[in-house]
Amino acid sequence: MTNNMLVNLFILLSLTGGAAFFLPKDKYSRFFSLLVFAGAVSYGWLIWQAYLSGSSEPFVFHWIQYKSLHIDINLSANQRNYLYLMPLGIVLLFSLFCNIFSRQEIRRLRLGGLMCVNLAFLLLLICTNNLIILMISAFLTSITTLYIINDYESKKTYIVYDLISDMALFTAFAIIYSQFHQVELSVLTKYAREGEHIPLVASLILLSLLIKNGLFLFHNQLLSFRDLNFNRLVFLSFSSLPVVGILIYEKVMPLLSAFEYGRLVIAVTAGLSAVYALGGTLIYDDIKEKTLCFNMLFWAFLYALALTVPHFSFSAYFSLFLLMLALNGLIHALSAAASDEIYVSKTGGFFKNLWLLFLFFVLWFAIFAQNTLSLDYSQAGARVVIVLFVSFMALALAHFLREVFFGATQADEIVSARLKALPYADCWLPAVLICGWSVFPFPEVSRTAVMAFAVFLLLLAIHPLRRLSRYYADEELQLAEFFKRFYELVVLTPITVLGRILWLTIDFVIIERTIINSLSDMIKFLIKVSQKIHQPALINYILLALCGLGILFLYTGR
Amino acid sequence: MLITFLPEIVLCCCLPVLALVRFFRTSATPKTYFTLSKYFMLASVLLSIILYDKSELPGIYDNSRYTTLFKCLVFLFSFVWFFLAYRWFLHEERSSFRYFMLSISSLICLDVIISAHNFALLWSALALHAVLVYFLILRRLDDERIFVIAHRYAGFAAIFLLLMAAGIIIFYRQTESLNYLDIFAFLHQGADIPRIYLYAASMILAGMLFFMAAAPFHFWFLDVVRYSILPVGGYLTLAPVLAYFAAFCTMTINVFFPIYGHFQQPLIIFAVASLFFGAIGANGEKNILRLFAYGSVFNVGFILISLITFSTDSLFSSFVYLLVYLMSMLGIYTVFLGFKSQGRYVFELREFAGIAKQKAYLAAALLMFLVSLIGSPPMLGFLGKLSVINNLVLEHHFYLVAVALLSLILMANAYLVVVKTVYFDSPIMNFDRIDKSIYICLTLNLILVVISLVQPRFLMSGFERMLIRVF
Amino acid sequence: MSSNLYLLSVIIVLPFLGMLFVLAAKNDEKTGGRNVYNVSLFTVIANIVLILRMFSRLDVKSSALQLVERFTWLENPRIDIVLGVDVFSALLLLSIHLAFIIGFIAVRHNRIQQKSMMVFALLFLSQITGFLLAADVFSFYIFFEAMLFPVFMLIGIFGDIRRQGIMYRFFLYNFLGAVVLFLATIILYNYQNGAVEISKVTQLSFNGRTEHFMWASILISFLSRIPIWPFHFWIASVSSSIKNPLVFIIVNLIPLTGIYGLIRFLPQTFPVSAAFYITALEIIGVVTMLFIALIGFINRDTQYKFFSYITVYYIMYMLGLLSKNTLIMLNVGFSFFSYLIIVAGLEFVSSYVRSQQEKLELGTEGLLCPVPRLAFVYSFLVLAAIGLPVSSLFLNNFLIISSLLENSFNLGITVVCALVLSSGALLGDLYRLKDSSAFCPEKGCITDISKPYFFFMTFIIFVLIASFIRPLWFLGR
Repeated sequence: MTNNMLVNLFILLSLTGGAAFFLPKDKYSRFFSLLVFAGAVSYGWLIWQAYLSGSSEPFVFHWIQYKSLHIDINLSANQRNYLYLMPLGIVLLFSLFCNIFSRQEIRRLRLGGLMCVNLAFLLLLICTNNLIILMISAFLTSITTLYIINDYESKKTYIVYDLISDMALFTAFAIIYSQFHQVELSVLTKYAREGEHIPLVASLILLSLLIKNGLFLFHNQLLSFRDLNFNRLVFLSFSSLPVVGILIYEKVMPLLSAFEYGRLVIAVTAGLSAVYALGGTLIYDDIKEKTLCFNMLFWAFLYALALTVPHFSFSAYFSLFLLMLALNGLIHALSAAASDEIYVSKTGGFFKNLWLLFLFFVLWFAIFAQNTLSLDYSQAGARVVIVLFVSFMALALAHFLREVFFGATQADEIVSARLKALPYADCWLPAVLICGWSVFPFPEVSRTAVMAFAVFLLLLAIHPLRRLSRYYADEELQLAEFFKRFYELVVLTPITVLGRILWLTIDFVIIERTIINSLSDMIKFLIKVSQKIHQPALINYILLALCGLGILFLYTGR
Repeated sequence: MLITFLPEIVLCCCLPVLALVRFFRTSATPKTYFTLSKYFMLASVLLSIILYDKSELPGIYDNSRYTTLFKCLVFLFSFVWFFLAYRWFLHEERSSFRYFMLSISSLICLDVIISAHNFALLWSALALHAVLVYFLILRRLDDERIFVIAHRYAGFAAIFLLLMAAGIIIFYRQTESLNYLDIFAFLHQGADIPRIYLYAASMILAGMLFFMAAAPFHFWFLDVVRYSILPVGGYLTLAPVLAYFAAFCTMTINVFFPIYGHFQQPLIIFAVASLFFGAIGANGEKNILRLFAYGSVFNVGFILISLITFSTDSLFSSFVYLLVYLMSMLGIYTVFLGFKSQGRYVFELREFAGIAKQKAYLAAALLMFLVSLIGSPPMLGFLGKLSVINNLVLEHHFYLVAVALLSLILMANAYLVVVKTVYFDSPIMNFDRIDKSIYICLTLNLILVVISLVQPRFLMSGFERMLIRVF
Repeated sequence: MSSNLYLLSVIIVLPFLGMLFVLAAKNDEKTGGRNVYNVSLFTVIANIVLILRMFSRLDVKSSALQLVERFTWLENPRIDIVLGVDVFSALLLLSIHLAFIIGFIAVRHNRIQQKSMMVFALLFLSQITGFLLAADVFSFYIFFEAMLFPVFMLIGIFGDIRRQGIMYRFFLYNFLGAVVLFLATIILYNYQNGAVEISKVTQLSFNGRTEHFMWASILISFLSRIPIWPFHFWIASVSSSIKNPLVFIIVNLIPLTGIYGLIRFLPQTFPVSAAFYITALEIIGVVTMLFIALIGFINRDTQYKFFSYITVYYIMYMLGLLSKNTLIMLNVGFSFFSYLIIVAGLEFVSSYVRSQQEKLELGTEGLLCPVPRLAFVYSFLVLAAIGLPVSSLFLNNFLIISSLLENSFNLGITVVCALVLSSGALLGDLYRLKDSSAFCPEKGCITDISKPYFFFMTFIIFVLIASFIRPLWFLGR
């Protein structure tokens, strides 16, 4: 162990991940998970102390030291890195805590290990000032995500998007390196100033980030997490790709700002994502899908906001980030209370049994509105974005809560019978703690927040979009995968057709049928000629002999 | 005089001894003939070595290191082949008396052909050898077609011998001598040589090319090898070519060199024709004997292409190629002796299918010799290919290099068909037990190949010095 | 020389001796092929030990050929067999041996023609080892051509019997290349009045037609080995018809010899006359790459997908080498190290799946669902194969692609597209095998790999991860 808390943390997380992999799969898994959680809490406490004390310990490991390639691994324990680590650490603790009690989780120890390793890689990403380490940490996070996803369809969808995202990032950085032969992040500023192919590089990076954050057009992978259990879903939404995306975004901003259409692309994508996410929260029947749409709304908002502030920093939105995590926790609690029911259409009238949970939801919105609306929105654009975000959230959440808590009871008897007020502490307790932490120290309540809260209550009361409930029964809409089909049609089909055409034309027609067969036919023809010549007829021999003599005399006579 | 011909006389002595044995010993076995032939051959070759430079007829019959080298090689290959041939006769339960009589007589002729420095002597030896070959061909008893083949051979041999005789007479009328040196002196006089003498030289060379089975005079060889009995086919493939090669080089260098420029072009054409006739013919052939006969034509082409400048290097390279090719061919014919099913030797390619599964050692040996014939390293054939191509590059005959290598690829394809049949096709027949002597010969041959490969100096040591004696 | 203890010669000869032992080994029903197998495996392991010993004697910071051994073979023409090694060839040698070990493990229970397989495999190993250690053009050529024969036999024995035409294609394509190289070697030899050391070939300069001829010959000979259009056809046919993992690995080492040849023969700075050839080569290479990647993407045959992946990488390495950058060249060397192990590993697991599938007559979908050990190994190898940071391939690829982008932007971008397609093909195949929706336990499940196999593969994974942790260890500071 070293004096550097981050290095220690990195080693501990990696070791925990490794140990979880080798420990027996099922035996005492809850106990081991508890141990992991306890360890994480204690170490989290130490880090919190270190953060408060403002201690700073530099650490740079010179990984590759070649004359034209220096790659350092930076794990300096400074205030900034502690700050960035904090919310991700809370996500980890939240997930580890849920993991101990989760009924659906059958591989909880392995999941815990993967979560720890994931944070270790995120730690690298937070601390890096180097393109290569940035890529490595992002890619390694992709790998842990892949292993955390335990559903086949989700995995399949995820891997395709992730491959494209990672390769886009890889190519962009390769282009930058090819021009400056530097891997420090500072080269991005230089590249933005002097580099070639900036639009392409910026587009590639943007593509990668938008995919990682699962924004509109690339949301399929994020929405495919609906098939995972809640704990995995929440962890991946807040500690995996979207976080990686936003952290990279923060680091590559100097380059993106040099791309003239970058802002437009982000604005349009964020706007469309917000609309799509709102639509999703209103129309999707699946609670998990709704949750993912809430999250998508948040990431869209964050990108939109990033365009409106002069110096975007993810750290400014940590409380919101954690509040969204809390919302996920509350929805998880709701689902767990309803015997893991995941369809809104099969709920309704839960208020009677789950009134406390409802209260937490309402309280959550109040805190959310207060926190969001107290953000710095000196820029006009930012104000619009924040207001829109709060409005969208209010509309979506009110709609959701109204249907679940006050809608007509559609739950089956077993679910209704087993409804409990506060069923599992693992689901709601961390969420509530986070909410509590978010309001500490208690701020001055803003008027706009009060207004927003009033509007939220109003929406809850009048349920203006009640007609949308009928779409829950529309199977075609619920199961439709427009974008999957769209990509199949626009990307996969042309590639497949092109591949087949090339295969048939070049391999089969040109090489097999033309070149090889021609050569083969030519040899066959020569063989036939040779066989004709060598037929055992006297005349052939005479002709051959005469031919030979003719050649001999012809040349000597010249 | 006696000393000059002592090795040949010793061999001649073998003939009455063999005849006596035939008369007085009713139970004469092939082994007896082989044993007798063996000792006489041994004595002859020893005498050849001891008297390597003894010649009392210097202008007519020359003994030198060059001739001794070829005589030794002819005897060596013949000796191994006679050993295998006697096993063949033993299994076939046939009398080998005539075979050994004819073969020993043939060896005497080959000796004379190698040492001859006089056209009359050369012609006589060639003519006698042709007659002997005619009778050797007729050793096959079970196929009527053999008569046609033998008669055709005899007919064409007679025509080419007559052509040679005509050419020789033309020179004789001018020089009144048939010695190489005198004709060389005439051709070397500097003045323009009348065209008639060029034609005369062409006639003589045509005869030599016919006996060497260079395309387009190769037709007889294919049929003879295909239809003769295996001991004859093998013998004709292995032994005469060495003597013809030696005589051809001696004649071209010592007689026709001043006018060689006139023949270079047609020689190239014949060489290229041999390469392509051989390679393409082999590709279309289903009979293994005929396939390798085409292979021999191809190899003659390779040798000719290397010889075209008749320099020391070209002579050496073609000699190396010839030697390597003959070693491989000896191995391949040895393998043929092992391919016997229900008492019958098989020669159709399809009958060789999957033989590797039953006769792994034989198949492996065949494979190694085939790879050698392709000229692919690490087999010995590479040495021959290297030698020839290096020489052609040295002499800047790049287009010939291209032609040679292209034909080599075609030839490789034909050999690959054999490999494929032997190794990868499903067997269609059961093969008989193999004579141990075949294994012994193959093993010795392979050991020699390995030694030659690892230390080619052992093989080549002194050969170059012996070969330059021809100049 | 005596201080070298003829280490390089021993490394070449040992597999050959092993082959002789295998030939002599009893292989009846009683031994069940164990003798042959054990002798072969032991030979390769022993050679690895020797290679590691060789590494210990090597100055890894030096790019010169070291531990040089010289033997006179022929006196007329004077030909010396010269052997030598540098870090690049040593790395290749080690990875090839590791790939062979993986191949041997993969065919452990294969009793069909086992003796032939081991004999020709060891013969090939001996020859490719000689090829990588050859320090003069003649030795180089000899091993270059000699290795064709065992591969031909292996393809013939283990290839699809209905498609024997591919054997001829293989041999004739490669034989043509070898013949052309032979010619170039002879010309080089005569041009220099003696054998040329391989390290000096790149510094030679020729005049006029000779230069053009040399260029054309060298390129044709090496390209005939690399699956570049139209030479790719033989390897495509062979790869999709070979089901034996060891033979597949061996066949796919053949392009390596082409790449290695290019590395050794391409000059430090391209002469003007070479510009045309290089440009043509780049264009043909990159088009082939994209073309094969596309076909691999649409093809459902796993072997073809592997072939497509292998081809894309080989061509990428070839294009990288054309940049003639020392860093890139060493990168290619170390990249090969991981790449060959990954390819061998992938072939091992896929052949295992295939054999189980054929035994139980199952479809391919969902085969990996009930077999966690196999699924883990397979997934890891695919992730490593597509260049994620779990092996040195990641950083090596990054530097190679940067170099390609630096030389020609469009070329680099096309290479990336081909990489994406081939990676997509591999992932698609993996997820077809992992398709839990198609998994039906009632139909029967394949058996997971045994624990010893799993530990062995874990060791291989460890080697790959180690290669990632120190990807450029051999470079000077």
